[in-house]
Amino acid sequence: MSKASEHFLQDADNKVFDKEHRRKINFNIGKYENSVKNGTYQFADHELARKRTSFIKTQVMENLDKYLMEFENNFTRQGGKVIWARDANEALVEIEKIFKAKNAKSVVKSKTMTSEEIHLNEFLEKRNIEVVETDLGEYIVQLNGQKPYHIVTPAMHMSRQDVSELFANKLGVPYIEDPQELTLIARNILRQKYLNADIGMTGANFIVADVGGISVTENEGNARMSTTFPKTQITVVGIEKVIPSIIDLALFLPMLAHSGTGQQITVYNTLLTGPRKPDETDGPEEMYVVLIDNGRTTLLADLEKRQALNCIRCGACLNACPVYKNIGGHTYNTTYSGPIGSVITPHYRGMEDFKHLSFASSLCGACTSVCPVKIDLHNLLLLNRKQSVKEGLATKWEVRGFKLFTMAMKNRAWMNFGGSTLKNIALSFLFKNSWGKHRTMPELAPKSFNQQWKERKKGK
Amino acid sequence: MALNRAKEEILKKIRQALIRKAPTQSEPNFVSDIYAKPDEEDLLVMFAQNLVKTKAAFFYCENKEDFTQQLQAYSHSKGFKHMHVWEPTLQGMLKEVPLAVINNELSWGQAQVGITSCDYLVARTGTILYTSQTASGRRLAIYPPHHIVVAYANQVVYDLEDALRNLRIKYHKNFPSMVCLETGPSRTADIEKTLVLGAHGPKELTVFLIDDAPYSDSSE
Ligand code: SF4
Repeated sequence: MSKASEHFLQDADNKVFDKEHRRKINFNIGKYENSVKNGTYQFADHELARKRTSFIKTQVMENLDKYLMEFENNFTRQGGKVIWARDANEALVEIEKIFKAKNAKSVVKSKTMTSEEIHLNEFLEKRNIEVVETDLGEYIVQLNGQKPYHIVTPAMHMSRQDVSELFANKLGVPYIEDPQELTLIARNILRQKYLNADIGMTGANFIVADVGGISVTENEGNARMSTTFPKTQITVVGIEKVIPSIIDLALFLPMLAHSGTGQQITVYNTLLTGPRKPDETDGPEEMYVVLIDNGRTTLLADLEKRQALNCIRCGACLNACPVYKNIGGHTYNTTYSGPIGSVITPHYRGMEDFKHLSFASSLCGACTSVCPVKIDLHNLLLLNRKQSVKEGLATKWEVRGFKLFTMAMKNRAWMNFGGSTLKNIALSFLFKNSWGKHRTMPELAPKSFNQQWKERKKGK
Repeated sequence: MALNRAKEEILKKIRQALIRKAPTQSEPNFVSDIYAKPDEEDLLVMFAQNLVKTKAAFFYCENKEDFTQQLQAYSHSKGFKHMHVWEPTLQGMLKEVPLAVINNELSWGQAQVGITSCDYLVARTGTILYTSQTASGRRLAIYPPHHIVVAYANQVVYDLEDALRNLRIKYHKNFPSMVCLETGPSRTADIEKTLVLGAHGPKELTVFLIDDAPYSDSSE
């Protein structure tokens, strides 16, 4: 069993029985589910919309080279610069070159999972560059010295009390629990950062080939700010994010908003097609787009799993996943968590180390049914499992143990059935063959979490 | 050059990967409407309804005079002292009006309000489409805490698709470096999913819609 999967099990075990953690996650996902339900009214035929997005993205993947070239040609004509990077390291080296050329000392960043993927922040900080995450959730987790918990809602695991304490400790402001006040504190601090930063960095939700632009979706306005004031803009984005035309945004933007947050459309959808034009009032003098492969072409070559590249990172499959709801985002210890993370991470970072993610899934199909681009997620997880067994990377014991583990995750009723006995059986079975030998088994509370929770709610 | 090598190699890998083609999918129906049919048929009204749902404010103005009067009253009630207007057409409209309007970019950091034009209003979603190609640039619609949009009835279209198609035609020779679709005031729900307006962009968004184009009712 790999280090990564040992780690995973240990964290999962801690998280599953951490009441406070569950409360926060259930609370946040509950709110999300409500908004999505209220938001469905906009679609008369959501299924047809999914067929369209799926069809368009599949067409793009089958012609990816052409679309990327089309984007590059158009973007370059408008004064933008495209940098291609085969892997994380190459991307970092190229980005560093830009920083050096501009003698840049500070950067404001709006949310970008791709930069998490290449560990950009650590890289820049080591070079004494001030890196400021500007998305409120990211700002909070950055202050807290953590990684984003969820690809859409980074600080999902923190309560308002957690945030108040953090701000009081790190920013020296009085302890206030009001989210309004807390937001205002961050707003005021970050306004100065936008104006003074040398470089603005963003990710991209879409690369739009026909107009040679990138499209950024956000509610807060921090990406708008980060691409307005700094003299240089750098966007890091995976090569799979292409859509053919600006007209396709009319379909993809509402689909992304609906699945991501339950909104009809997100507050700001900004299309950026290059640096400031000679006749324009403001905007960056230079704009770079770093196109990152980092394992994507490997996935593309795998015909059966190619469709995983259609992902628009809406986060819906995470929110729908019973395993995610139990163990939470940090346990995955990967940039992309939840079902889609379990599908792609083994291909980006190695099957041997990350195969356990494909086993730690209940294959209930909830992810597949919510995916706005119709990725057959649970089937892809199954394929990952098969591949790792075939390549001799997973033992019979591991496979069986993980199945029991996810069964326990999924079926709360079953877990409640016999106090702690069944859980202990499942877990000891699982751990016995890995690290249980060398370590003591974690003792489980005699009352199951479900029971404890119910009792708590009843006022004991 | 190393850069080109990366590009060549990535493209080569892609092409190799694509030697094996995914089974051809049948093309889905791209014609029928995926959205629920709105109850309201008048696009202007539909826009107003959906805009207000996004927590923005809407003012209906019969003509330009009506607009300047309403803006005055609004500004008065809000106590605005620094309203920035950088676009010549808007400056012309507000020239005669006793309002605390600032016509240049100086002291923009103190602006309480940015007044801008826009290209289209999208009725189905309550969205405002504007670009970086006006004198307001990228800044004026995002930095001040209050964004006021001045629009005309004939700028209202039904869906995003209509707005984007029109946009592509309008700017086909000189596409703006930025196109923004703005739907409501800036917001965040990052702390316990509690909605807070005014995260980084404007806390308030107000649309003044001037209806002096000929009236045409799609239901007639
Ligand atoms: S796999 Fe589908 S549901 Fe999951 S994040 Fe990607 S697009 Fe969303």
